[in-house]
Order: sequence, then structure tokens, then C-alpha cells
Amino acid sequence: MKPGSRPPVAHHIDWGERSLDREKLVARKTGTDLRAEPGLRSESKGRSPKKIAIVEDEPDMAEVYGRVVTSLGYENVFTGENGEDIVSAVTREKKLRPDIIIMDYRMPKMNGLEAAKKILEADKSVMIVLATADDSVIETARAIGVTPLLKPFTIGKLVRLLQGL
Amino acid sequence: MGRTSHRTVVIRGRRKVAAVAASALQRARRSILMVTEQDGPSQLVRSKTARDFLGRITSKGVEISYVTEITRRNSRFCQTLSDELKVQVRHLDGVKGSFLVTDRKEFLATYSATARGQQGPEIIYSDIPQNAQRNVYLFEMLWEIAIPSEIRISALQTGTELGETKLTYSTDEIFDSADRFLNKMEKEALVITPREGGVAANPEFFRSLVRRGARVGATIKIFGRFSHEDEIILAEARSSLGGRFSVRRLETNNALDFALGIYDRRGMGLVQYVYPGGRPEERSGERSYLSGVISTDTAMIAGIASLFDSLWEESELRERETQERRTAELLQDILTHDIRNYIQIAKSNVELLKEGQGPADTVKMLEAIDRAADKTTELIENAKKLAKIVGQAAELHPVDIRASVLRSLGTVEDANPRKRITAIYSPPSLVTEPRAEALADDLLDEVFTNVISNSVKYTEGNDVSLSR
Repeated sequence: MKPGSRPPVAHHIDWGERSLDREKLVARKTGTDLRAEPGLRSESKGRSPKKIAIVEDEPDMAEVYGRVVTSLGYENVFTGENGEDIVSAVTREKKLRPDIIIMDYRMPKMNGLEAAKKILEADKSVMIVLATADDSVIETARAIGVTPLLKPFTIGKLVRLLQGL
Repeated sequence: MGRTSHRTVVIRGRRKVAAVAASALQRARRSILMVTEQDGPSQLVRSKTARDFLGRITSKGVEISYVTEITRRNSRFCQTLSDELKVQVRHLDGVKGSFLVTDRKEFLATYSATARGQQGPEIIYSDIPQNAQRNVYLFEMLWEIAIPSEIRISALQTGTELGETKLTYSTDEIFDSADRFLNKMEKEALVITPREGGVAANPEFFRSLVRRGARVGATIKIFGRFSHEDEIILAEARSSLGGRFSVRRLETNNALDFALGIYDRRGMGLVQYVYPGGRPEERSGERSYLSGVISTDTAMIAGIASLFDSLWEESELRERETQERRTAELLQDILTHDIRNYIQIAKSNVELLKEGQGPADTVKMLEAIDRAADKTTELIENAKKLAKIVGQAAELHPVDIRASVLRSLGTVEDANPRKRITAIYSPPSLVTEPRAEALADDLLDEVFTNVISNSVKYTEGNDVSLSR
């Protein structure tokens, strides 16, 4: 699939009357008061939300990431299925400037680690979270400046991690 | 005959000869080394008197080592000597003359052994130590190259000629021999072609070998490196011989340039190209000719065949180990990666649901959990199948390749209704031939389904073309 050919996953989560708002959600997951989190605090002051790119070949997992980042108030700017999609979007087309990329490790065409190396060569400022079920990748990921996220993980852990970036 | 001084004498006359020989044999305490022509065995055991005489000697603990030419006619006497009288008998082709050495001290020889062409009841007797010792050396040399009687007798009983080995540069002779071996083959052919293209270089011979194998129910084992053309011919053979045809791949470079065929372990041809004055890489365009070692020597063939057997066995073990390692890696991969992925999807959606999704999204998320559970179940089933394959030898049977591909195509098409999938067969005979078969088990459909699914998954757009 060409980058951008699949519409970005952008969900509005209707938490309903009994549900928490997104700030409360984060507070529950992290055990902290969302209002104390710097990233979101800056959002609440009117700064533009962080741009997130999601690269995941499993559509149901991409959907999960989409729900979480949208509920956190981030802007989901891109959804791709493999490493080539995101590398092309960031390096060749020079259009995409995400703040954070959440990327799976094992994907067709180009895996997440290879893609991360290429992206960081082009733009060192982008934060990359590499989700993987393969713990042998963790050290390599850290060595190139990527934040590993070992599966299975909780939503709370993902949220904490995104907040810390 | 006096025993006090050493001497060499010629004894004449049947009675005297018999007396001197019997006396020397009776004096033996440790060993008798004996060589006779092919009529010797019958003279030694034909009469009860002679058998008893030998029996008394061996019962004293005297070891008798005996070299003669074992023929169909005298083999039963040799068997008696060996089995009943405990004489160690060996066979040597074309033994002329007879001699014996007792206790490495006394030497007797028929006169014809020392003066060729003359016959008669005449023997030379000597107890001169150097004379006896010289003949002990001669005997030991003959003993070394002689063939144990059980091998020779067995070969005679099974109709196997122990045969000869020769080197020839005659292409005709090489091919004639190969045809001769092939037309006699009943049980097995062992083939080595370490250079790619070795099979396709002479396809008619190889096909004849396979036809013969199919006709007589023989097994064919082939070791080698194979080009695409070779593989096509090998596939034909596999289809024709089924489980009686096995292939192992050699991990060598292409510099090994010969072909070896062993037929029923009684005929062997080792053929190679000879390039006068050139290293293999400089051979291009150079005039070459065939050289062949052709052998019907079963002892030599047995040695080379045992080398083949051990290489084959080792390669089987290596192949099994590689397969087991791959399977273990695949199982680990499934368990650590794929299943964790689907657990991740399920747990994440459960967590989100707990946070209270709206009704519309709840259905979608439950569907995602359901899909993750289905995928996990499928992975576990595949892991179980893999474990089963590793745990036991696969039961292979001929499977119609085209039917299997079509079933798999149908499965993938059902799962991907918007994709148009086209399969291009290579070789095209897969379509035109009435039935193209492969030796496989029931997992072949799943292999094709997996391959086709991956092609569909990784092809952009809705048109998917599958080709070699």
C-alpha cells in the first residue's frame, strides 16, 4: 500500500457519561495527574498537538494505537503498513514531519529497525517507539536511539512511554 | 628324510611325494601356510582319510592358512575346509603351482611351481631357513591380496562375479559398460554427480536408469549439485519411482567433475572428463575426452559403496538436524512473536473496553478480540502440526500438485474476495500433463495456501499474479 492510501486511523472515543475524559484516562493509567504531565499541559495551553505516525502491518493493532493516541489528543498524521511506507513518507517525499513514530518491529518489505535507522539518518529529532515481541531486538533498538516497547504491554505503559518522549 | 642338517632336495614318485608331504604336515606344531591350484581343495577333503588327517592337525591347534582359486566347482570343498576343518581359506584368481611352509621352517613346492610347464609327481623340499623364510614372505604377500573365502563363495552363490577393474579412455567402452550394468541392475543404483548439469548432460542415460528402476523395483539414490535442468529430470524420476528415489545435495564447489554410478554393488563406473594440460577454470573450448574406471571387483566396489553409505547417512543426519533447527526456530517465532502480537491486540482492546467505549466501537473492538483469538488458535494448531512433523517421520505419498494448488487458491480467494489471483505454472507441463505429482504429506495444501496468502498480502492492488 502506498503511503497515505489508507486513511489515517483517527477515532473519536466516546467515553460516555460514566467514562473518564482523556485526561482522567491518562491519570488512571499512569497513576499520575494528567494535568501534571508536561506534554499534555502544553497542549492545554493551546500549543499544537504532537503529530504521531503509526506503522503497523496488523490492522487491528494499528486501530488500537489510533484510539490511544487520539484519546490522548495527539494528531494521527500517518498510518502505514511497513517500513518502506514510513521511510518513503519521511525521507523521500520530505512531507511528513511526525514528532513520534509508533512502529512495529516485524513488518513486510522493511522491518521497523531498518526503517528506524533510515528515518533517524534523515531526521534525528523524531522520537521512535519500536513495538516488538522479540526481546533480542531491545538492545539494538536502544543502541540506535529508538525506544523499545516489548509486547505484550498495557495501554498504561504505552501512555506513560508516549508522555515521557 | 633326515632332520639333522639343512638341505634342499627334489622328491620324485607319487608315493614318496605323499610320504614327504604327510610327514612335514604332521611335524607342524604352530602353523601351516599353504597355496594350491584350484584342484587342491578337492584333494584335501575328498576322501575321509584326507579329512581326518587334516582334522588331526588342526585339532592340535595348528593354524592352517590356505590360498587357492575358489571356483564354482571347488567351492563346496573350500566350504568344508573352512567350516569343518577350521582352515582359513582365501581366494586368489589364477593361482599356478602349489607350495606350503610348516612352522616357517620347512618348505615344499610342486615342481611345476618352480619350473613352469612341467607337471608330475615331483616336489622340492627344503628346510634351509632362508629358503623357508623367502616363501613365508611370498605367502604373506599372496595372503594380503587374497579375498576371504566367505566373500568369494557368497559371490559365486549369488552369481556375482568378483570381476576386475580397468581404466579406459574409450568413450564407447565407458557407455557400453554403463548400459551393461544398468541392464543388469535389479536392486539399487548409487549415483554421485557433484558438478551441476551432471544429470542433464546425459539425460537419456539417466532416464534409462529410472525406467529400469521403475521396471525392476530398484532404489535409486543420487548425491550431487543440480542445475535447474537437472532438477526437472530429477522431478520426473521422483514422479516415476516415488519413495524409491532419493536425492541429497552436496555442498561442494563445481570443480569436482566426475560421475560415479554403482549398480547393485557389483558394477561401478567412475567417469570424468580429461582435459589435457589445463586447470578446470582454463578448460573452456579445450578438446577433452572421457576417462573411465570400470570395475566389477566387488571387494573394491564394496569399499566405495560403504563410503557412499556413510556420506549418505551423514547428509541425512545433517538434513534432519537442519530441519529440526528450522522447525524449532519457527515454533519459537510463532510462540514469541505471532501469538504475543494477537495477545497484545486482544488485551489492548479489552483494556479500552473496560474504559467504557461507546456501543458502536464496542462491537468493532469485540470483533478485533475475536479475530485475535481465531488467529491465536490457528497459530497453535500450526505449531502442533509442526511439532508432529518433527516428532515423527513424515508419511509421504504422491499428491497431485495442480489439485493442491487449486484448492489453496480457492481458500485464499475465499478469504480475499476482492483480489483477482492468477497462477502461471512453471514448467507449463504442470498444466498440460494429466497429473503432476509430488511426494508430500497432507500439509502441502497449507504450504501453498501460506505462499499464496503471502503473495496476496504483499501485492499492491487487487491483481495478484503468481509465477515461479
